[in-house]
Amino acid sequence: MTTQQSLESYFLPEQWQYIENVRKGRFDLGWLRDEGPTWGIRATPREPERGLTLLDVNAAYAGEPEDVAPYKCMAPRGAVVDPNVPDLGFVYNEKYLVWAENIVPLYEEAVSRQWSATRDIPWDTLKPLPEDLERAQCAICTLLTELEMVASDFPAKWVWRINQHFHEAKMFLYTQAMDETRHVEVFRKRALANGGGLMRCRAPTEMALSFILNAPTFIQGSYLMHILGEGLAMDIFLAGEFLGKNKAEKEMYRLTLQDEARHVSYGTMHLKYYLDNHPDRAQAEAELHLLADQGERIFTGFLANPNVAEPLAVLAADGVKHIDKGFEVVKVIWKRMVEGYLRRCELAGFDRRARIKVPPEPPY
Amino acid sequence: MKFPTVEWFQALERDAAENVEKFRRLGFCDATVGIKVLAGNGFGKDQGFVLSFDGYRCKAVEEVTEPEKVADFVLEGKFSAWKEMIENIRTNAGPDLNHTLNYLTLPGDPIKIIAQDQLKEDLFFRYNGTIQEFFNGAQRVETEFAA
Repeated sequence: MTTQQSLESYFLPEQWQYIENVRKGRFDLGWLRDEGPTWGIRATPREPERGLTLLDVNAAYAGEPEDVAPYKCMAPRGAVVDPNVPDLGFVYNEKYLVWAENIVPLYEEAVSRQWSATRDIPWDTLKPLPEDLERAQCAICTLLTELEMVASDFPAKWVWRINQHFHEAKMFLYTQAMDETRHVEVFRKRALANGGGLMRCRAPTEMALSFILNAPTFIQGSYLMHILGEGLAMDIFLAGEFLGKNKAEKEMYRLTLQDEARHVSYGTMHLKYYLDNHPDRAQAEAELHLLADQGERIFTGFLANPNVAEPLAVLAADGVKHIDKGFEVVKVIWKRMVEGYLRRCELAGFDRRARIKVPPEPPY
Repeated sequence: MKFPTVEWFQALERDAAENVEKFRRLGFCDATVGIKVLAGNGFGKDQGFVLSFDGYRCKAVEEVTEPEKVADFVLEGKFSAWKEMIENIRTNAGPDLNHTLNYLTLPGDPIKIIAQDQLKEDLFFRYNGTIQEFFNGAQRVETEFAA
């Protein structure tokens, strides 16, 4: 085989024809003459100090996705697309299945509020703690490392199934995966940075996480993850900041809280969008109520778990000696958790107040 | 600068503008934050303020009678609670462990968060670092108290 024949064998006939044309100085340049693309778009920053945001770009062109994606390929919304593009197997091709009205600003917020578990925590403020307090903090950090890894895996599991037409939803979920990864990092670092260590992972906790990760649809998983699970985590982070014994812990919980609240805001508004735009709202609500009847047991599972409630109480009481007094703080957290959850459901148009499977008052 | 007045909050606004790099690092903050200082302990009447955060800056401060009608969320506490928090920030060049905004608001006392819905209340948590940093500026503002 000659060198020329060998080279040609790498290409399809039409590719080889193109290469021969290029060699003869005959360039295609069809893309320069293509009248298909919308041309002359000039997105400008609404506010120069922020830079060019997705909101600015959406205001300039193709900012509003259609209710049903016109293609099932990776072509960006608003591009000209060949008629014979392949179907890449997206499962979520309808807007109501993934969208939230606040998704675009939430993405920009997520990008601008990133932080580093290495650089932004004043690790030098950690000081040795009495063993009961160190064990309590390490127990919570071990639990949160478990929780946050599932919260990272969850969007990773679903995002490739979402049509590129709704790129903002995909991009936001990728920020969540990154945020949660950083949470895993920061809690692991705290557990291993002050003379303590990783504590016990309980089987019931893992069962609850499996329930979230293995939810059969995105809306079911999103409700369990973004509203129930992350709502619960938010209140544990809040408590963590409240109970922090040094500036490192305060900052760690404050920064994770910010991220978590953003994810919860997406989940709340996604549930609202889903219900408002579902072709059979009554049926959708009925199905979600059935799920919630089971899912809400995650709350009781956590707050009636000695490896969660007692470490919080020990931190609140500044030691195990007055753990009973520390339970007063756990009661406050319980009430906040339940009320915050109910208010988020209410905002989404999914009223759980009469059906909730968690007692409003703490049972301790 | 006397607390609570528009001028006092504007001094914090200027301090934040002078330290804008810190706020860039913290990221966008888009919220209308209400502050309500309740009468008591020699402080004569309730006073309300609205701080408008937009991007990296606080862009406006206004005194309003009922901040809960215009703000995304309101931080409401007695004058004595605000005074103690500000004095603590000034003494320690930032809040100690028991005077962060989270610490003061979690139990609903001495400062509570009021919001029409949970999404708006959650803005306090989403932007917590920025709002805390804004109040940390009090360490550089000479402050007299109205009572």
